[in-house]
Amino acid sequence: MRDLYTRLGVSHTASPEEIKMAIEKCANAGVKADAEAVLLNARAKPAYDRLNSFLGDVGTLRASLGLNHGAHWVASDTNDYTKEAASGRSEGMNAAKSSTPDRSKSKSKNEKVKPASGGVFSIVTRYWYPVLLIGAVAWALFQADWRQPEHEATAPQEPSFSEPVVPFPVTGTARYPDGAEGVAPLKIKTSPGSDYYVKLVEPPSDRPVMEVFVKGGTTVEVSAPLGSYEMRYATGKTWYGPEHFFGPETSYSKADQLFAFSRDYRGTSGYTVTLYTVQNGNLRTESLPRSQL
Amino acid sequence: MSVRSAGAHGRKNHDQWILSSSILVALGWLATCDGHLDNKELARFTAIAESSGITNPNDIKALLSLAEYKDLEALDAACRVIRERCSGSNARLFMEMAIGMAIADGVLVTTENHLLRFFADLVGFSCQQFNSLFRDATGRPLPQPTDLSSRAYWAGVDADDENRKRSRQRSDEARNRADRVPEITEAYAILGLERGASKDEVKRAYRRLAQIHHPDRFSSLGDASVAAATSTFQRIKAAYDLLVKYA
Repeated sequence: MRDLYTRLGVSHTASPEEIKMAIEKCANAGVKADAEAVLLNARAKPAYDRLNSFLGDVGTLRASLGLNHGAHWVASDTNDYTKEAASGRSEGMNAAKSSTPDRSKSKSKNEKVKPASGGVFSIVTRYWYPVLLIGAVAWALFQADWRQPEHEATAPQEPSFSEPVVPFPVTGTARYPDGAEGVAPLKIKTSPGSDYYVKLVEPPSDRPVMEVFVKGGTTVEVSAPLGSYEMRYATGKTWYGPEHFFGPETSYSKADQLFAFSRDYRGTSGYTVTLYTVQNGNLRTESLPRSQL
Repeated sequence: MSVRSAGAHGRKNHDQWILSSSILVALGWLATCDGHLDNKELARFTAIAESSGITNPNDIKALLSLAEYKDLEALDAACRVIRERCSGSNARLFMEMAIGMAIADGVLVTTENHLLRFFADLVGFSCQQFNSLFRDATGRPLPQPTDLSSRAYWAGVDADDENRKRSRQRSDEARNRADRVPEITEAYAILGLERGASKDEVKRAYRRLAQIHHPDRFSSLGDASVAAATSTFQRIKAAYDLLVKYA
């Protein structure tokens, strides 16, 4: 099963006209014929849409539960619904090859993860076979942010700030200012509302090694260079470019733990960072003066 | 069926509750994943929820709506509990129970197929293990999920429709006689048999399935699972009774 919308390059909620236009422009004859038979067929489309969105959900859960390499997922040809950045996926597969004998071990480790005993709503640690992912959850600062009364958030902007609004850069494309090689998986989940500019900085030199933009509400997977880094980020609602970040309402913060990306015989270790308030989160953040971002 | 003892308390009770509600969320997902929830399914789910102590219709609705409205965080958390608690022999029980629920009507639709495969990965079943378990629990091989994104599939559907329309016209006069045909067809399907299987085959299939889906086997998974298995078991028995009488 394929996600015909993605293959046509339109959104899942595209209108019939948009779909028709995209089909006309589609260069792949197979996709074109299938999209015509399915998306332009009043009877087929609802059934297809339902299965399509269902598989999207299954893909999301599989990614979150570390089941992207499950035997029953690959076999049923569901690549279009696997929620991982291409780089992350190949990384995972490479590592899987090198550590196949450990599969059972790593699985049993997986099963020892504490259950979400707080009921059905807490998510904490996640493992991603064969890559160990430590769920890190920013919480202290965002709790403060979250609790801010509405009127503060919507307060009129300072009149002195009149920089032009700049389109938010492409989400999820990592840049490596000094040419480091991205190797280890780093997954950043964000909640809708605010956008994020995230960067990894090498202490104590404060040399930035990676930066990435994340649109609020999306999850990105990027490859971080090997090493131990600090994570700092700026967040806000309106992007004014790299000079002003999110304008006067930017909040700057850093995670108060070091992120160690390493590779050994067990595979490559990386992290999942969730940038919103989560109960029982295991990462705290502290606020940062702008000059230190 | 086991009844929750009112005096039970403390950690064990709480653990049981977490497992039961997680399994209920998973079953609710199975029931709603094909996009509609008919009255039969709702009644079945309600009975299962009630047996694990959830009797308030609003709570039952809330549980179902977690899956219906795709509360992925809740599904995620439920899956983690199931993975944690359903290892070893419980993994097999959980899968048998889920399969029983999925083919409640003798048909495995594509979403159910994908969801069962997802559960199989969740509790660590290999393809071979799952295929043979499915065959044992239903009497037929696990089908490949249908590819709804291919034009070939929809061309086939249209052709089928044409045929059905034609044959319906032909058999109009035979309808009275065929009153029970859909039920009987479904009964054969529930037992994993082709139409026209012999009485002997019916009996053998029933014995085998009844053994696998017998509610007593599922007590280690908690009340919700026992109730789910009970519902599956009753359906198998009803199918058998019908076939013995009419076929």
